[in-house]
Amino acid sequence: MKIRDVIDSRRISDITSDRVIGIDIGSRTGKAVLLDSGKLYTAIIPSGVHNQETADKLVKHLFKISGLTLDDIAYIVGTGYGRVALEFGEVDNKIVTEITCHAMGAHFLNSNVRSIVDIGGQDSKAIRVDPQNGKVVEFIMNDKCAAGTGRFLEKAAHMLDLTTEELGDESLKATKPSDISSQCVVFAESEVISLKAKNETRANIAAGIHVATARRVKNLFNRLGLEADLVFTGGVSNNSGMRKVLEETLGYKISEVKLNTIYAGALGAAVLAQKSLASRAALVERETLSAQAA
Amino acid sequence: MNPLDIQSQRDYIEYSKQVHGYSKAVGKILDLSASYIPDAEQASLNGKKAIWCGGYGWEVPLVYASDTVPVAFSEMGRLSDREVMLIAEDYYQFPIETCSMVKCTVGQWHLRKDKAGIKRILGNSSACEPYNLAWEVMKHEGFDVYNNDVVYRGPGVDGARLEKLVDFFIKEIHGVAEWLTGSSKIDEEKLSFELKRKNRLLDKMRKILALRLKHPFYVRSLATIQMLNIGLNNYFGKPEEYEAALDLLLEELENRPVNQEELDAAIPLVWAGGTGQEFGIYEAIDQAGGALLGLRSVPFKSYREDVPPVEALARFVYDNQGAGAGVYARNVIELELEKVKAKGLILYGYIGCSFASVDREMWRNYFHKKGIPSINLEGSFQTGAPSGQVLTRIKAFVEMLS
Repeated sequence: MKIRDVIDSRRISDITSDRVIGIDIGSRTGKAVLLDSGKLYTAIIPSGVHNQETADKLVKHLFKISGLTLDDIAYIVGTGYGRVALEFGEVDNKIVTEITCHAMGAHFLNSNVRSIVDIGGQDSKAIRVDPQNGKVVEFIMNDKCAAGTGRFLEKAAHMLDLTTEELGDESLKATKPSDISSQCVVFAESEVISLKAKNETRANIAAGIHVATARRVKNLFNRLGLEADLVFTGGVSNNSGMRKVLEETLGYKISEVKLNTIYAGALGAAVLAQKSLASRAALVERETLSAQAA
Repeated sequence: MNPLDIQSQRDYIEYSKQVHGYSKAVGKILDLSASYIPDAEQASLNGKKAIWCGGYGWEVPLVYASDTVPVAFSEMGRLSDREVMLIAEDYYQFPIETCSMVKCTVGQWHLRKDKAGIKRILGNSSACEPYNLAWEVMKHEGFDVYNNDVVYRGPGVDGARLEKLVDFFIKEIHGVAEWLTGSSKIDEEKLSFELKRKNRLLDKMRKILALRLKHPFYVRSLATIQMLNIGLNNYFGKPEEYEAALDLLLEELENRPVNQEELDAAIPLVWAGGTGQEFGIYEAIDQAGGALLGLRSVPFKSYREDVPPVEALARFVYDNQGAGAGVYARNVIELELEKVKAKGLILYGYIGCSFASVDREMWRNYFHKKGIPSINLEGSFQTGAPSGQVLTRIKAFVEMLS
């Protein structure tokens, strides 16, 4: 796809011609974005056991669709849960946290963004962003347990004999969301079993699960403060039921952007890769000038 | 050693030594830290008097003045025994939400209960309910436990009320002396010697911390915490060796040219909290470019030398950042933030420590209103590498400040 078709028009001029890759290895899926002279390529696969192998597969896929090779790439930024052990051979690279990357990615998709909900496989995060530059102003994570995360929804879907993708759509059919009081995955499982025994509909249970998760996110923003524009990123952002219930619970509309926000982290990583190259070039220029002056 | 291969607290100390290969002084401090508990236990087996205690504050000069080695029980956590938490939870039935430091300590004592070694425990204040429970349990396991009391100084307590607190605490100190030596009479000459030693070391540490502002990465985060939060408190059981290491460090820092590039790259941070045993947190701070330059535990005041030494011990408690109310420590944190021109504040406590969690929340709100970013971390005494999420928080926090 063309960069100008997905990136916020106010940020287009910030994208350089440098060929870079951002790789976001999450706990459930690996995502990657390649920026190349006006074009943006994406790749997504389930995270495997070995993060490096997942990263290599993502890169291979990007090269297949772009026709490029590793020699063409100037910089790679790795992010996400699996970022720690990534290696990219001779290509310059660095590791940045997913919080910084999601903020930058969301900023390039909508430069008015001030708040981000990121619900990933193993944690959820509320992030406040500076709309001037896409930098993180403040963040908070919920990682006390799997509750309020994609893993929680995945488990719930399994209990309701649905796929994760179906869970959100099913919840939209609810007439009265079930009251899921427990925020512990293990105890919530018992609650869902009890609700099933009472012949509660799958849709109502599914909606209840989403409401419970959204309540958790709301508490994060109660502490952090929430300002529009709000962008929803992470693996769960494609869940239509979650989007709806988040908007209702938070009382804010989630901004529509032109790229699937599951790629926000990888896009942010790619943007940061370009910024790293720009900083390095500026440093070299400063050093050259000061050497000349001396 | 590759940081990814680190499996235990001992590995972190070893790795930190490797990183500090350029500094004999830091290497020595880390060696002292690693050998603290094993050497003290061996010394006890060889006939040297030693006790388990908090290993910080007023009690340390008194214990040394009583010809006894103070052995900080919280430092047992680094012995990297994964079994100890399970002992506390399963054998002693401590609730899972109990402070991880206490559970770790209890498990470690359990492993020692039927062996020769240090069999005496000095508690200090009954305010910490989990430790009270631990001490009661250890009494039943055959340890000789003594728990003195401390009355905290509320904000605004001064004049006659303060003098009553001092009098009360002096009596408590004599009670501890009696437990230590069999007599409530304290050898004031020895105690004065220890107070002078402590003040001398506090002064040296102040100089080191001031020099670190010019050399922010010379002593990295873990080594800083070891040197200040542990070493300065109890000298790792070896006062002369610890002082020699500080002297060497002063010499190294004073003779080192300032590296402007390093100075510009540093992200000054203030650490407010205990030490914990999740040493990977410190490594994460270093890797992200953060420099722990300010600390809540900074040597704030010295022991008075113009009053009798026992009174000086008591007054040190009530005049310092640990006098009991969160506001005392908060004031010190605020001074540190200003002094080091900190970009952020790391609030650290142990999982299950209700005291610290309340303080942290109050401090967070106070500094948040002043526009100082902070991060609230809960650490464990469970050994091994910290969770990915904890590392993400730290790294993202430092990235946010850069």
